[in-house]
This record gives sequence, C-alpha cells and structure tokens, in this order.
Amino acid sequence: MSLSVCPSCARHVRERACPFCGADVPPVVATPRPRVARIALLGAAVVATACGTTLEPVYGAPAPDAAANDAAQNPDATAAFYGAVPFDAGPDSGDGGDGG
Amino acid sequence: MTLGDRPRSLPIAPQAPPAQRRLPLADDVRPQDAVRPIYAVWEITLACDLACRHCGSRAGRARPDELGTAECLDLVHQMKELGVFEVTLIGGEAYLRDDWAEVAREIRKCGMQCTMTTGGRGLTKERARIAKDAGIQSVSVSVDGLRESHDLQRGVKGSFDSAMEAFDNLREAGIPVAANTQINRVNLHEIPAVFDLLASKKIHGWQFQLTTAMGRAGDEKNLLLEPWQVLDVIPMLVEVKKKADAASPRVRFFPGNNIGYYGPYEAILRASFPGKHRGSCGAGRSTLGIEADGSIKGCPSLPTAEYVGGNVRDAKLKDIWERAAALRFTRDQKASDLRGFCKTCYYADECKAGCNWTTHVLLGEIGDNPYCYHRASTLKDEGVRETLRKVEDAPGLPFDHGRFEIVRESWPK
Repeated sequence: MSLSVCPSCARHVRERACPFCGADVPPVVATPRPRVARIALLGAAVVATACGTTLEPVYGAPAPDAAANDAAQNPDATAAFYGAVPFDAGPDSGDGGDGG
Repeated sequence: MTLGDRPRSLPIAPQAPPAQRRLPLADDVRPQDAVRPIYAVWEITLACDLACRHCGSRAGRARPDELGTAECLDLVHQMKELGVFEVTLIGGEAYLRDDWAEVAREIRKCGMQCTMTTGGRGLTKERARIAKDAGIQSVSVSVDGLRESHDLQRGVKGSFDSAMEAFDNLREAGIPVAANTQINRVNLHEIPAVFDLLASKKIHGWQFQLTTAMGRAGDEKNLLLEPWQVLDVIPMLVEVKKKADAASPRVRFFPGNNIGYYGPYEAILRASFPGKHRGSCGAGRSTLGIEADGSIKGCPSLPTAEYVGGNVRDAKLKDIWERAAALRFTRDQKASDLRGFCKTCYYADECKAGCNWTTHVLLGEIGDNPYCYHRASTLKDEGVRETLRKVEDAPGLPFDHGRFEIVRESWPK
C-alpha cells in the first residue's frame, strides 16, 4: 500500500488518520507512471522505485545528464521511473518482483 | 581531534586471498530473478594510494588474481547484455590500473554511462585529460572532512589538498565533479562546513553515508557513530539540504543507503524520490557489485565471504545474477524475516531493515538495523537509547567484519 506524508507530523503513513499524531491524512494522489524509455534511464543511479526498490548511488553521484538535471530542477518532482524492470516494460510492469 | 594509533597490529593493506571459485548456482531461474541491475559498481583494482582508516576493503595492494584486460572488456559486454545502464569504476584507486581508461572507453562504446569515484590523491591534470578522452562522464571525489580530519581519516598527510586539486583538474578537463562523504564521530560536527567547501568546488551532486563497521572501519570503534546519534545526524542533514537546494548551481542531494529511515525528515531528505521515501535494499535487484578478481555480489559494499555469488571466470554474469543464492537474497526478503525492533516496526514492509550491508557487518546477520531515525526516536520516547559493544574482531581481510552487539541503556538525565 502506498504511503502518504502526514501533513501534521510529516511522517509517512498508510492510514487516513495518522497513527503517530492523529491528524487527517489526505489519500495518495496517483501519479501516472510514464512508459519506461531508454532516455528516461539516463542518470540511472538517481532514483528508481517502480517496484519499491530504491536505487541510489552506492558510490559517488551519477553523471549530470539531461534527464537527471530535469529532475534536479524540481526537487519535488517524481524522477524517472525505471527500477528493476526491463527497459521496454510497460507502465505497470514495475509492480512485479517482490514489490519491495 | 584524534583517533589514536591504528588499533591493530595486522598489516594495514593485507594481501587479499584468492577469489572463491566454482560456487554453486541454482538449476532454475524463477520469475523474480528476471530483475536486472541498472547500476554496477566495479572495483577494477584493490591497489590504492591512500590508507584510509575507514576503508571497508582494506585497500592498498592489488588482488593476486585481478582480471586481465581481455577479461575486463568481455565483462563490459556481459554487463551491457545483462541490462546495466551505468557503471561506476572504483578501487582501491581505479586509475592505478594501467588499462583503466581502456575499460572506461569500452563501457562508453557499449552505450553505458561511466562514472568514477576516487580519493583523488593522484588525479593529476594528465589523468583527468585521459578520463575525459575515455568518455568518463562524472567523477566523484571522496572528501571526509576539512583538512585536518580528512587527512586523519585518509591516513596520508596532504590527501585533502590532493582531493581539492583533483576537483580543479577534473573541471579543467571538462568533467563534471561530484563528491561523496562518510559521516562519523570524527567529522560529524563539521559536515555543514564540508558541504560549503564542496559547493564552492561546484559539485553537481553530493552523496553521503554513515561510516559502517566493515574492514578497517570495524577496527576503529572511536570512528563509528552510536545508533542514537542518528537523532543528531538526520536533522543536521536536513539543514544542509536547504543549502544544497539554494546553491548555485543547485547540488543534487543523495542520501546513501544507510541514511534514514522514515520519521519526520524522510520526505525532506528524499523529496525527489517517488513517494518521498526510500524502499528496501536494492542489492541483487537493481545494483550489482564486482570485485577486481571477477567476484560478483549484489552490492559492492557487501562482505566478500558471505555475499559473493560466483566468479565470471567460472560462469556467465547473467547466470550468476539469476541463479546465485547470494544475489537472490533480497528478491526473497520478507518483513517476516526481520528481527528485533525491525520485525515489529510500522515500516517493516517498505524498509525491510534498510541497508543489509550496514546491519550484516555490524551484527553478523541482517534484519535488525539500529542505525535508524524512526527506531532511535521511538526508543527515546521510551527513555531508552542504543549503543554498540564490540564482541569480536575482524580477521583483517578485505571486505571483512567483526561483530558488535546492541546494548540498550537509559537516556542520561
């Protein structure tokens, strides 16, 4: 189940009532998942959570390519979805695997 | 600031044992083994020109059986076929291998991204030009403190100045620069100042992680943070992130896998992640680690003895990736497998105890990670905090570990 950020205590929660502070938590607004394209894989080490796997740069930081820079301009933007799915997988393929 | 003498009489840079060979592979490939690594981190040599006191691989001397050039180039093609998109070259010190640029060039020729991480001691203008010519797209320089504490941790006087020169040499050659930093007891107080310094070098990204009890770092109890100190670390990093977002150019912020987890700061630190939070360990799912002798792991940081799944001299990379138990373990990891606090944690399904490397090298097994903000915060509300007590020394080999125990105590009044 997706986690939302409680607007009151800022913790991630599943419920509509925050179990930590009791505040009302708005439901998650689903963001359309773009079809995975090779170009979206540029800067692969930035973020990947299509199936819950988080791919982070283990050593250093990825190259500042165009795709990564686009994401960098908006720190709150959802970065390219790719994760542990085949490059040409469709938008829902990321729900496979163990789901993280 | 001091760490005292190095705490062991074993060689600082031991000779690595020969690679584990002919490890068993499963007969079948399961649906969950169809995952593919996006990111590979490749130690192309264990030779190093620094003597870092926190070095997990105890680098210094080349492995006795490192891959030859032809084997490296073949492995590049196997990575491409497997689906790897980005390869980060590390060491030891990658540039100490004679054919490092040839390997980088082949990675680029195959259409993969190529970056490098370096201590920067010998990253001269000439080597920077060679890196540029080879097509390396970004180099991350390790900086672990201001001059005094950096040199103390890196074990070589002058290494801080060399690292600063490396930034300049790389930028002069036209290579974008990034930085990576360990956070530990020696440098905790100066992390904001370190960031300011790095921002002045026009880095495009900063990755940081807690110093973890592997290799030489495990020998240095005085270097390791106590678990409860994440309550100081995480809010401090949030303040640094504000500076990173405001910097010009903006510095991309990359919390390492052992920074976290959850609590009121997660959504700020990982604002650019979908859902604004991390998932579970990606070893063997999205990440691939390679040691210079051809040993394959799910993550470059994992300890060699327990997590090498095979060797490319014995089997194809794809077969090791799909069929080695040591590569499969996170594909099968479930919240019900966790232990201790993590087993009953609210975030168990998403987090699965966070960074398996950190936990394994600390406790000798995975599933109960004390370096966690949510955990430390919850325990503090109960008047309790966790510290570490060392109960077993490491043998003194590359990528080894000793063992610590978690000790709970009352918060001091």
